[in-house]
Amino acid sequence: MAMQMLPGFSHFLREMRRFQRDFSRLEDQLDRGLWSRAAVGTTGPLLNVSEDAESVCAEAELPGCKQDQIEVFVVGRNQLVIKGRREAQTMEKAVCHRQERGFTAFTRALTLPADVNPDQVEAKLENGVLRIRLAKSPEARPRKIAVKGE
Amino acid sequence: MTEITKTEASPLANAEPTRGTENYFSPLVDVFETEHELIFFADMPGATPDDIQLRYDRGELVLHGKVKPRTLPGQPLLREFEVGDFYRTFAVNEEVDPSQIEAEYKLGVLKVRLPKREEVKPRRIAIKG
Repeated sequence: MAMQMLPGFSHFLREMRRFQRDFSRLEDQLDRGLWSRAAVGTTGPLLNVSEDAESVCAEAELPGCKQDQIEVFVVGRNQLVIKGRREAQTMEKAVCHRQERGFTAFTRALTLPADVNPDQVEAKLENGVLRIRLAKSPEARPRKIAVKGE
Repeated sequence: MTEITKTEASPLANAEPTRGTENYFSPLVDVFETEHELIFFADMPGATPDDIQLRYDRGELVLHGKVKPRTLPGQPLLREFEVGDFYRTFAVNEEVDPSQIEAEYKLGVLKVRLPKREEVKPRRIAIKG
């Protein structure tokens, strides 16, 4: 930091930053629930999405969902829809002491940043993590233009 | 409908890079009890059976799932969740038999069965007529 500060003040700032970090970590933990995050404004799993030149990738945590309980659709050329359900855990002659895991049907729709080819979409479920790879349509891929010299 | 705006990175994307030893997530858990056992179901997606350490010591059940960092290829556009280890402990009051504890990990869910000791199981007493 370019600015000179009193040692006591920089210590105070550091402590405040640490507090902020701890607090946001706590918040992340609260948000961790599968169907719980109000900020997203939808019911449905939380998503991480990335893109590279050829594709868009999306990932969601869907623990307890079987393969046949999850449906992935591409609507039009740039919408991804994930639908699914998780069956409630029921046990015969059992007392339930704690029930935190959610059991509902869910739908999550996402507008993709680029057009994709609906025929080239792969979805894989592994250890409760769904990973979807959508190949971009050729028009949506960046094209390298050769620069002509003199 | 979630819209992705390319320029704006969500605040989570700037979260601390450190994880592992100090940054744990608490798995969501259901607990059931039957006459013979206690059953725990914990959502721990992204681990493998080998990554899960389960410990029971004098009434304390420790669930610890190590989750290998995974990254999506390319540039992140939307980050709604973070990946990290799962850790949670439970105090178990029922007298369980530690040698009989069984666990399985399937579809990202850890299921732990803790059978009760014979002597604490309810016993039906026959009533003589």
